[in-house]
Amino acid sequence: MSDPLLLVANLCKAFPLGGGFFGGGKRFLKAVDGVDLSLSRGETLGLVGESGSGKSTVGNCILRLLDPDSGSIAFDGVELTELSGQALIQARARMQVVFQDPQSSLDPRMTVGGIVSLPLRVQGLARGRELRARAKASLAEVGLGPECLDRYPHEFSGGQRQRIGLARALVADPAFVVMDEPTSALDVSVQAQILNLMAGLQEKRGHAYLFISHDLTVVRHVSRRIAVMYLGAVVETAPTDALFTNPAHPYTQALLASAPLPDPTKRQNLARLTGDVPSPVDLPPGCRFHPRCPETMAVCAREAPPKVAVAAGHEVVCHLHNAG
Amino acid sequence: MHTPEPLLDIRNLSVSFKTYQGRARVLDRASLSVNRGEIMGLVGETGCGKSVLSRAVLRIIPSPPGRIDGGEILFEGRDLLALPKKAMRALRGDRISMIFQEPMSSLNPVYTVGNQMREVIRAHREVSRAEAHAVCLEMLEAVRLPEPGAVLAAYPHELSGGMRQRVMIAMELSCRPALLLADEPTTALDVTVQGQILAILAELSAREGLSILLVTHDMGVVAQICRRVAVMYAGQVVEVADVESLFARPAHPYTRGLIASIPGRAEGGELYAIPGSVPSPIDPPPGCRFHSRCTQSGPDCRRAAPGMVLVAPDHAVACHQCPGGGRP
Amino acid sequence: MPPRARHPFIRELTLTLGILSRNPSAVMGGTIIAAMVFLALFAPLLAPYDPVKLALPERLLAPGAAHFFGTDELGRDIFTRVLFGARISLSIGLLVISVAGGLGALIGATSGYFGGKIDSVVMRAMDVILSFPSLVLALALGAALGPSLINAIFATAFVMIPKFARMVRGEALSVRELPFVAASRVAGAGHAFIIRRHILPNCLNSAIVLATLTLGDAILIAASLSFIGLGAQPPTPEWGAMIASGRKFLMDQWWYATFPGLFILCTVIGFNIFGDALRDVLDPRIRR
Repeated sequence: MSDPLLLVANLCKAFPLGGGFFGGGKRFLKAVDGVDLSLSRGETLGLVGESGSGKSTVGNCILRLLDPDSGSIAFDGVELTELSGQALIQARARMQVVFQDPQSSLDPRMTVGGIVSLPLRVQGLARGRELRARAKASLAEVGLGPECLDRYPHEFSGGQRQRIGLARALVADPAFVVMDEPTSALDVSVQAQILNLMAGLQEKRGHAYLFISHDLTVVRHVSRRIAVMYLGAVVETAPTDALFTNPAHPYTQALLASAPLPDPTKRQNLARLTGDVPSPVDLPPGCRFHPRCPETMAVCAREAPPKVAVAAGHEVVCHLHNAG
Repeated sequence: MHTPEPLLDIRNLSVSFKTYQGRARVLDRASLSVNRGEIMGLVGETGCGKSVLSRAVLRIIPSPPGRIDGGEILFEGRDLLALPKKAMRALRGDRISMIFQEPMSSLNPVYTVGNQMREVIRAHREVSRAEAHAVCLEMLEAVRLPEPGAVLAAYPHELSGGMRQRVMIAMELSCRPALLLADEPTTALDVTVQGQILAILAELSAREGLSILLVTHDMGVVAQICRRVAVMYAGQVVEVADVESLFARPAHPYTRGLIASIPGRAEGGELYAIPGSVPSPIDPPPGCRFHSRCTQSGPDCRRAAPGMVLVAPDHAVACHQCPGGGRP
Repeated sequence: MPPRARHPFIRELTLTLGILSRNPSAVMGGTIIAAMVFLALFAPLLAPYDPVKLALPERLLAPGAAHFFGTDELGRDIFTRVLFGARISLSIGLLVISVAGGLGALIGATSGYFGGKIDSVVMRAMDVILSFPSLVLALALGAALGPSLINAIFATAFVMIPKFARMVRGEALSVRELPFVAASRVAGAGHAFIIRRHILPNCLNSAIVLATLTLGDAILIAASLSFIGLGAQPPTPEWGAMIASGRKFLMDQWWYATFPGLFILCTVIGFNIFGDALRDVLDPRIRR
C-alpha cells in the first residue's frame, strides 16, 4: 500500500469568542477537535457534515488559510504546519482549491486569462506569452474556448464560472485539490456537467480531491471513501459503498435517513433526528452526539468513545461498536 | 366522474420585468392548479420563474419593474388579479399564507416572537390578547417546538435557523389558511433539520386539510412529500403529473433530463447532463423554449409553443413530440 | 457567447452615466461641473485680456461692456482673472484629490487587509488627524510650511487623507474575506500582490464617489488658504486670493470680491450635488 498523499492527525482549531470580562474565562468555539484523515494519490475523499461540523475549517487548515492550533498535516511527507515563507509558497503549488460561490470566487476586475494564469504567475512558473498559452490549455480542458481569455467573469454563467475556477486550480498541475462545496450553488443539471468534468479530469491527470459537501448524494457519486463529521470530529470513515449499505454510527444513519430520495415509491421517515444542529461552543461531555442519539447508553454521557474498526477500512467512533 | 373544483387555479399567467436590457418575459402563459388538502410541488431550476409564480398569487411582485401581463388566478372561485387591494390584504395571512427560504425576512428583529405572532392573529381576528396568546402556544406545539412559552418571549436572533423556520410556519398558519405557499422553505437548512420541517408540513397538511404549493429545486423533496408535481422551464409549465407517474414515466424531455442528472439515482459513472444552458428571458427562442437543448426536437417545436396535452390520467405535458390524448 | 468584452470599469461607467442622466440633481451638478471645466480648459481662448498685465488707467471700473466683471485696483480684467482662476482652482482640486486619494487608498487598503495591530495603529493615527477641523489643521500646516501654492496643496491633501483611508479600509475589510482572495493566497500570492491586484481595484468605486464629494471641499480649503495669504501668491489669479484683495474694496467696488466668490460657490455646490447623486446611485442596495 502506497504512502498516503495527505495525512492529517489530531487536527485541532478553536476560535476564541468574546466574553470573559467579569472574571469568567474566555469561551472557545472548538471548530475542529481532533480530526484524523488520510488521502491517497488519485483518490477522492468525501468529507460530509452539516453546519457546525467543522468540515470547511478542516479544508482551510489543510490549505494553511488558517493556522491550526495543534495536530499534524503531512503532505507528501512534508509537515505543512511547520512551513513558512518561501517553502510554504512552493508547497502551495501542489495544492489548490475550488470554492463554492461562483460569484465571489473570481475577481470581477481581472480577465479570465489573468485569473486562470494567476497561480503560475505568482509562483514564477511561467511568464509572458507562456502564461497565456497555459491558461488557454487549462480552459480547454474544462471545456471553455480561447475566446474566454479576454473576457470578464460577469459575462459567464454560474456553471461556467465554476469551470473557470476549476481551470485555475488545475493550471499548475497540482497533486491535490480541495473542493469546498463546489456544486452546492449550482442547479442540478449544471452540477451534473461539473461532476462529470471533475471525474474525467481526475481519471486523466490523477489528482486527488478532498470533496467537502453537505450533500450526501453528490458525495456518494464522486468519492471512493467518505468521512462523516459531527461537531468538529470525524465520527465515521468508510469506503463509499460500505458507508451507504452499512452505516455504523447513529449520526450517519440519521443523515442517510433524512436525505430525501428522489423516488416516490420509497417514502422515508424524514424526521429521524430531533432537535437542531448544535453549535460547537459548549460541547457535551462524553460523546458529542449523545444528546441527540436515538441509541444513547449510560457510558456515552461519561466517556469519549474510542475509534473502532468494524470492517477493513471502515472505522467508527462510537461506544455501540466497542466490543471491549 | 366529477372532480371537485381546485382550490387554486392559475390560468395562462404571464409576468414580465423591466430591465436595462429590455423586457424580461419571466412567466409565459403558465397554468397549474392546486387541489384541496394536497401538497403540490413546483419544481424547476434557477430562472424558471417558480418563485415569481408563487409571489404573483399573493400579488407581492414589486410593481415598477414587474408587471402582470395577462391570465387569471382563481382562488376559491374568485380571480385574485381582479380583487381590490383591501380585499387582497384581508386575504393574505388569513386564507393564503406564504413562507420563504430565509425566515429572518419575515421576522422583525426588534420585536419578540410572541409580539409578532399575536399581531398576525389580531390583524385577522377579533380576539383578546390572552386568546391570541393561547393560539400562539397551540401553533408552536403543532410545529413541535419545545418550550413554546420561552420561544414566544425570545427575539428572532436568539433562535436557530430551524427554530425560526418553525416559528414562521406557526405564524403563517395561525389563522388556519386554506393555502400555504412555501418558497424553498428548507433550502437554507441542514439536511436533518430539513427532514423535520418537511415532516411537519406533511403532517399539517394531512391533519388540517391544508393545501401547500411547495416551490423547490430539489427533486428528492418533491418525491418525498408531494402528491402532484408541476415542472417549470424558462417561464413555462412543461409538465404536470401525480408524483409517481412523473418519476416513473417522465414525458417531457426536460423532465427526463432533469431526473437523469440527479446523482442519487446512478451508481457512479457519468451523469446525464442536459447540454446547453437556460435561454435568457429577454429574448426567448420562438416556439417551445426548450427546443434548442432538446434531443428530440422536431420542426414543429421551433414554430409554435406547445399546449398541454394529456398523456395519461392526471399527467399532462406541453410538448409537440409527446403522443397525447384529449386536452386536460 | 456574445461578442462584446468590456472591461468592468467601462461597463459600470456606462451604466452609471445612464442612470445619472435620469437624476435631476446629477444633471444639474454635472452641468455646473461641465461648465466650469469648459471655462477652465478654454480660458486662454475665451479671455479677452491678459490676466496679469497691469493697466492702471483702467483701475476699478464697474462691470460693463468692455469688462464683464469690472477691473481690479491694478486695472486687470476680473472676468479674465476669474476664468484663469477656474484653471487654477480645478487643477488644485484634482491634484489634492489625487494625492489624498492615492495615499489614503494605499494606507486604507493595507491597513484593512492586515487588520489586527497594524490596523489599530494606523486607524488611530487617522482618527487623530480627523479630530481636528480640517480647515484649521490645513491652515496650521500651511503656515508651518510657508506661503506658496504647492505647500497649500500638500496641506490640503494631508488633511483629506484620513477620509479616503477610512473608506477604503472599510471596503478592504470585506474584500479580503472574499473567496477569490483566499484562492490567490492558496496559489501562493504574497501580500503585496493581493493588495495591489485584488484589494485596490475592488475598492475603487467607493474611492471615486468620495473623490467627487470631496473635490468641492478641496477647492474650498485651498481657496481659504489663499485667502489668508498662505496659498497662491500675487499675481496668481486664484479665486481665494482675489477675494482677499477685493475685501478692502467691498463697499464701493462690490464686483471685485463678489464674482470670484460666486464662482467658488457655484463650483463647490456643483460638485457636492453631483457627488450626492452619485453616492445614491452607487449605493449597493440600489444597484442590481
